[in-house]
Amino acid sequence: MMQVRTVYLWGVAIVVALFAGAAVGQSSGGVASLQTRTADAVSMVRLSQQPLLHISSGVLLGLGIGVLIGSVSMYAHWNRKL
Amino acid sequence: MTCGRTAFVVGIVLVALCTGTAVADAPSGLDSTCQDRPNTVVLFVEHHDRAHTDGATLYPGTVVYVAYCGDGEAESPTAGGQTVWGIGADAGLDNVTREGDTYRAVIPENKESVVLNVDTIRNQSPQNEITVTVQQGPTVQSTLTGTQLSFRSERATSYAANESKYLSARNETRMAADALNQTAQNIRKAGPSAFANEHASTANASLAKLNTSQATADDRAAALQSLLYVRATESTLPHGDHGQALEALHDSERTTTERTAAALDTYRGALRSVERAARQTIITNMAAGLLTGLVIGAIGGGYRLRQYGQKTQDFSDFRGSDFDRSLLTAPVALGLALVVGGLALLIVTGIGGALL
Repeated sequence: MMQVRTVYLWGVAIVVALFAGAAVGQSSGGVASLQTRTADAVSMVRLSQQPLLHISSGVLLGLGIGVLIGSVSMYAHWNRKL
Repeated sequence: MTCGRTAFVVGIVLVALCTGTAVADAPSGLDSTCQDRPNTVVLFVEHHDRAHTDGATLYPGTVVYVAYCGDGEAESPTAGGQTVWGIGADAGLDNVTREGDTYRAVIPENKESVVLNVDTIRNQSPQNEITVTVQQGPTVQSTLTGTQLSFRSERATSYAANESKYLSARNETRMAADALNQTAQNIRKAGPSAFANEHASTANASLAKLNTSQATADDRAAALQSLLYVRATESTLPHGDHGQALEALHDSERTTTERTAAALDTYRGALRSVERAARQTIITNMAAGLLTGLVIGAIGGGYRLRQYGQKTQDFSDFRGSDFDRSLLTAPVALGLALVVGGLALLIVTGIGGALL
């Protein structure tokens, strides 16, 4: 009877210890990563509220690519024609 | 003759050994106690010489010796293989074993009192009655289990304080989880702007509260587990109040952790939706600019070369010759410079990082 009770208590203690350890790690790690991620999300939202910046970047890139495509294709056209 | 002397010496040695054993087993003062107490049951506490003949208050687990004084001296429990006197099970003592002229026994934990009288002493009729009140340790009304838990001395105070702090921290954790859950739902409804202006700070406060209260709850729970486990292993009670309290604590922690994990998942989902919406806005704006730039750039870049091409066609001197490749140098250099400038702007402003 005493042995059964001891085994039972050890079982409860081991389960509690394992569960508590896992829960503590999961919870604190999850909270810390979410705090960092919240700050990142706020930065991203602030950035998304600057449309001129996005459009300017797009225009600049588009101009560069457009000039390259336009000039090279026109050169190729005349080079073939002449 | 030699045999007779040897037998005598052995006899002396045996008597000495037996006397020594008897002295060691029996409580000192037993004989003097019995001198003026005929037909009296006497109780001695281990390591104490005082004889109790009417009442005492003792802690569970205390080892006692019970003697029966007959006609001026302690009666041996057995004589000639016959039981002279004994202790009935209804007396309430644990682990009753014979030891010398006494019975050695342990004060039980699961009884309020032990009674030695004419009803519980077998084969003899003592004139007196000894009532031992079992001193129970201080008890704590556990909120976790809804039952009373007994502890020894200061551990009861420690348990009560730790349980109170644990429950307080656990409730704070659950409240913070609920608040975070609510914030997550508000974020989903209100969108990215409201998140950055209002809900992010609320969520951060909930997360910080969750972190500190969870840490406190974990510390207090560890202290409670330690107290409960030590007490559970000490206890000789057949029912496992302290084991049940350990399970109740485990269940309480598991429920809190599940609730917290669910709230964190909900908030994580809300963050994902905010990030997705913000990224979508940036991509849409950039695509509009990129398309416009592409059209303007293509027309502008091709226009000069078209003019050169038409002029070249008008001069017959150049007929048959290749189109001058140096005409490409300036527009290609300009195009590359604009692409590099655009990429640099993406990196410096963080737009590139946000899109990846």
